Amino acid sequence: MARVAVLVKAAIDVNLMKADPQGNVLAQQTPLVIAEYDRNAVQAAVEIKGKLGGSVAAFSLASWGPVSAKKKEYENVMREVLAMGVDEAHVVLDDGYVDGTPLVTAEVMAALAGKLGGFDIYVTGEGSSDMVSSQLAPRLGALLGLPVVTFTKRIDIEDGGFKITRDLEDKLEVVHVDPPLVMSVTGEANQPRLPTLLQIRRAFVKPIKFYTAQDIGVKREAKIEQLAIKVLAQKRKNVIIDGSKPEEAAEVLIQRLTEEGVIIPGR
Amino acid sequence: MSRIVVAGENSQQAREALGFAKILSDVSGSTISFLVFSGTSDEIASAAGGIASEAYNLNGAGHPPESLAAALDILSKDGIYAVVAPALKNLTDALARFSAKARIPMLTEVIEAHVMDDELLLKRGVMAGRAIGEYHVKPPFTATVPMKKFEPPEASGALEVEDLEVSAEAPKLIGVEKKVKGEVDIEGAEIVIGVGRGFKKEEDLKTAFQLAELLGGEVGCSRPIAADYGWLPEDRWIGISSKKIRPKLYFAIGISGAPQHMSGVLDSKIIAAVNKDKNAPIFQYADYGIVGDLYQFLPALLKKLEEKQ
Repeated sequence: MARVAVLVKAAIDVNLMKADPQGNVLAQQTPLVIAEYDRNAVQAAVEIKGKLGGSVAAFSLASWGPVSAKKKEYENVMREVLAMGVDEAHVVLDDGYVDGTPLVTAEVMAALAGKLGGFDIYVTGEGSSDMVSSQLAPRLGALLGLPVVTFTKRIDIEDGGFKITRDLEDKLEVVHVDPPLVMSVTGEANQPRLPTLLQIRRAFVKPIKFYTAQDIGVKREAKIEQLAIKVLAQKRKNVIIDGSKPEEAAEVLIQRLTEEGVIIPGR
Repeated sequence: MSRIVVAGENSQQAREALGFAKILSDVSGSTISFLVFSGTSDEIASAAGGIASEAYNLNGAGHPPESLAAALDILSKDGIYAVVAPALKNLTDALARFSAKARIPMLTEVIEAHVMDDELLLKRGVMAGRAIGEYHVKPPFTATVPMKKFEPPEASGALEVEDLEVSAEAPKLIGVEKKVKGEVDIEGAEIVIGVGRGFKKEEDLKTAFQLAELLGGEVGCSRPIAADYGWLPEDRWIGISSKKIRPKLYFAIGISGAPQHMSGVLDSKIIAAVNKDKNAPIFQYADYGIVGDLYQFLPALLKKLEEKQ
């Protein structure tokens, strides 16, 4: 039996990002979604539970505010992971932790883990789809004093120990580690399953607990200040060419790209 | 005066962060220490001689993330200004472990560094490459920088290297499999033809290769083509967790334009695209967008280009 914790971020939906006329990203007006690789983390956690038995708890820190306006969205992301097979969810909601760096996130998550009595296996995604800091697993492991295995592509469980394949730039590396441990998984680690209607319905009776900074007790210090998040100015020409007459379209494209100096036909 | 540690698994890697370290050193007056997991003294000297004032070598002992993090614990004992490294997986891992214990902030993939009113302003790409985050950060901190982003200063002269011994518990290493390196240098190509899910069969990709050959370019792909279908090897996969390209022309064929893919091509000078779906996000990123069926358009384009040969 294993106590598994999976760390999930409700991230900015990059496809629906809103910005003001000066280009500042308006996080409050942009919907939140589960961070892409956190789906893989949830799938990995649920598969581990499937093999070892036990339970999976999801942890999340609200990182976009104001939390009073966003609470429902955080709850929705948690319902989604509960439908994927997670048993219970724990969410820290406090404006004092909003816009927090991975430093704050890791300290809050480590404190929450301690408060809940500790876990055997902690799983995170390799990085969030909005801020992509890629720090949470190694930070959490260092804080909890546990072995850390990052960039996991494959998990094999052998006699209660974990044989883990790490996906690095130029090689695959296989390591063996016994729990308790912290791991981060890549987008290639598995295929997250879509929950069935029955699982979605069941998710509504699973518990979601909310916590504040007071419950957690981590003090945030001003070591780094996020001044702005600005969308990149769109400098593309956005010329649309009708492709219904392929030969004509091809001629137009060749002409345009030649004028731009990026191709030399008949070189 | 506290120091700036530049870390890498080898000298060549660590050198990738020296340009950034030099900026920090000019601002703060801190000296630069060079730390490698393994390598020879000659390699270290030719990478950082005249730039770093001291160098440490772990001589390959242990496992890189754990050993480097332990070495950083030692080197930071008397205070530190910053630790910097190229944005590679083991180094991101090592710096994050160290940062957590030291309770200091870390910025991954810093792309710009400025000094404003004696404060350091660092920028990094966020939101899958569609936005830039700006940060004021006070030392001590850690940071990674993308490969080839900050030009390192010329190295010259001698550099004494000290062996550093660390003890760090690490998972047991039971195997290593080198990734097959293809011949292709997608990051250095001036023209890249990107192929995506719009291609229905593996053999259909040959038209993209024909186009690449006619234009003098290389073929790259989106995630499904490499990771899900395995039609092309990983070294052709372009996107946030793989290759990032900056060609003169990126020509996306049958690619919808998911942010994770587009973040790898945003630095292209010109982006052209072919897609059946006129609402595909790719057209927002494109200079020239052809709304049409690639199975009709590509043969027409190849024919026209061949006529011009």
